[in-house]
Amino acid sequence: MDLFPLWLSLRVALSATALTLVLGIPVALLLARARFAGRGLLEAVVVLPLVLPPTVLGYYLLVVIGSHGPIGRALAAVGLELAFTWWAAVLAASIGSVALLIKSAQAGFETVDRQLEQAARTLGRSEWSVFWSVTLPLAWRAVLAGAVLAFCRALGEFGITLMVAGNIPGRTQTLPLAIYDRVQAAQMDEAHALALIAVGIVVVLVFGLSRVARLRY
Amino acid sequence: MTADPVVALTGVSARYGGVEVLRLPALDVRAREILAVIGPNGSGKSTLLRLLAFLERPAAGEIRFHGRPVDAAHALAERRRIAMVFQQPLLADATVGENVALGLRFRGAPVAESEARVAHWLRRFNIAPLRDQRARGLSGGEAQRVALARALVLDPELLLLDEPFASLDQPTRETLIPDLAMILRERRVTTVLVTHDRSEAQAFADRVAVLIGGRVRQLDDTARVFQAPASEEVARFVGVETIATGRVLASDAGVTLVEIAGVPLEVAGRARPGELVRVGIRPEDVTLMPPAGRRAVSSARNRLTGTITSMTPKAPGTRVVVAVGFPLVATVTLRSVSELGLVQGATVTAVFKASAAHLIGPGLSLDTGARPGL
Repeated sequence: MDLFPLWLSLRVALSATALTLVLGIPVALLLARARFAGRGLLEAVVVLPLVLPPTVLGYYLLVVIGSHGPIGRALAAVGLELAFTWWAAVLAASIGSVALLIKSAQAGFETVDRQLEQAARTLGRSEWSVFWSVTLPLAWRAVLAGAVLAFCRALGEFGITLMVAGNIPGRTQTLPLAIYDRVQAAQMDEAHALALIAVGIVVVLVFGLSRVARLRY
Repeated sequence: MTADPVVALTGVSARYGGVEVLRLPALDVRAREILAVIGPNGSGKSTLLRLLAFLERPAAGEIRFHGRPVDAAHALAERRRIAMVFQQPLLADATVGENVALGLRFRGAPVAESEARVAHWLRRFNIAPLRDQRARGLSGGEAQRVALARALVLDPELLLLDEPFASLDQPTRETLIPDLAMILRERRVTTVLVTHDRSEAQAFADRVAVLIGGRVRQLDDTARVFQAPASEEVARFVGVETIATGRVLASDAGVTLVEIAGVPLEVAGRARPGELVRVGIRPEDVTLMPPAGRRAVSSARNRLTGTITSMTPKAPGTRVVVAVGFPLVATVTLRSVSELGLVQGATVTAVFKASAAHLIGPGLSLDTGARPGL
C-alpha cells in the first residue's frame, strides 16, 4: 500500500500548525487584549473559514495565488510556483484551521489575570518578557488545545486543498484526497486502511490532549 | 520649601471607552513624602496609580518623573525605578526568598548582593523564618509581607501601594499597618498609598488627596483634610457625620458664632455675620453626659441638650443620634452607654469644643464674597 499520502498529510499538517501558531497567537492576543475600531470585523473574519464552503475559500485562494493572481504573478516573477504544490496544501490547511487556534488561544489569554502581568511589569520585566514568562505559561493549555485541534483539522482538510493543490498522486495527494481517490476506484480495502489511520491519529492526539491539559489540575 | 517632585502630573486625563474617569490639572508627589489617595470605589484611585506606574498612558497631559517626561520608549527604564504592591500579593509559585529576589533577578543583580538584600528585607518584615517555604502555602498577611519585601528590596525611588491591606482580616491589618508605617517613615521612601479606608491614610500619610468622581476634591496635610474638609462631599468621606447649615451671628478671633435651627454654636473659623455656612462635627469629638452634668465640663464651649432618636452599634462603640434642634451624631463607648443609661428617647446633653466644629468649604451666600478662614 502506498503510504505517501500519510507522510504528506503529516508534513502538511505539522507545517500548517506551525504557521497558524506564528500567525494566530498575535491575532489571539490582539483580540483578547486590545480594544480598537474594527475589532468586531476582525473577529468575524477570523471565524469566516469555519463557516464558508471550502470550495468558495479554495476558489478565492486560487484566484490570489494562481498563475494569473497577484501573488501567483509576483512569485512567478522570481521563478516560484505556489498553486498545485504541497505548499499550497499547507496554505489551504492553515486557512482551514487557524480559526480553531485563534479562538482557543484567545479564550486562554482572556483568563490570564492582567494583574499578574502588571506585577511582572512593575518588577521590571519588558513587554516581550512578560508575554513569555507570564502570559504564555498561564495560557499554554488553551494554546496547546487550539494547536491540537488545528492540527487535526489540517490533517483532514479536503475542499480547499483540492481547489488549490489539486489531487496529484505522489505530489499533492493528501490522506483525505487519497481516501476519496481509492473509493472512486472501488479499492475499498485501501480506503478502509487509510481511514483507520486517520481516525487513529486523531483519537490518539485528542485523548492525549485531554490527559496533558488536565495534568496539573 | 520642598525639593523637586518625584512625579509631576500636568493636565492629565484618563478615559475608558470614551468616558473620562480621571482629570488631574496638577498633582505632584514630593520627594520623601507619603501621599495617601483616598476616595470611594470607582473614584479613579487605581487608575491614577497605574498611570504613576507607567502601566497605562494618559489620554491627555504629561507625566514627568524626576523632571523628565516619560514616553513609551523610556517606560521600562523608569518603571525599574518604581515598585508597586497590589491588593493581592500576586506571588510567583516559588519560595518566599525567590519571590523577594524576583525584581533583583530581572535587573540582573549579582547573586551575593541579592541574597544579602533579600535577607535584610525578610528580617525587616519579620518573615525571615519563611524564606524557604513555598509562597502558595502562606497566609494572607504573610503573603502581603512577602509582596512588600519584594517591592522594598528594589530600593525604589517611588513606592506605589494599591489597597495593600484591603484583603486582610482586621487583626492582620492591625499588625502589618504599624510595621509598614515604621519602615516607610524610617527609610523616608517616597510613597503613594491608594486606599478607600481613611484610617489607613491617617496611619501613614503626610498629605492626603481626596479623589471623588475622578477629581481631586482636596489635597492637604493629613490633619487638615480630616479636621477641615473643603467640601461637604469630602467631609462625609473623611467621617464627618454631622453636617448642618446655619447663619453667622458674629465672628471674632477665629471663633464664629453660628445659629443652627435656633441653637447658637461656637465654631472654629472665620465668616461674615449674616452669611449662611455649613458646620461639620466629627462624631468622636462629641461627648454625651447626663442632662444635669454641668460639673464635668471644662473647656467645652458647646453644650446642647436633646433627645436620643436612634442608637446603632458601630464597632467598637455605639453611634447615637441626638435631636438638639438638628440631628447631632456622637460615637460613644459601650461603657458610656451602660453608665449613662443611654436609651432611645432619653434626654442627654451633648458637649463638644469649638475647635471640634468646623466651617466646611466656602460660605453659602454669594453676596458677601468672604471666605471663611480654613
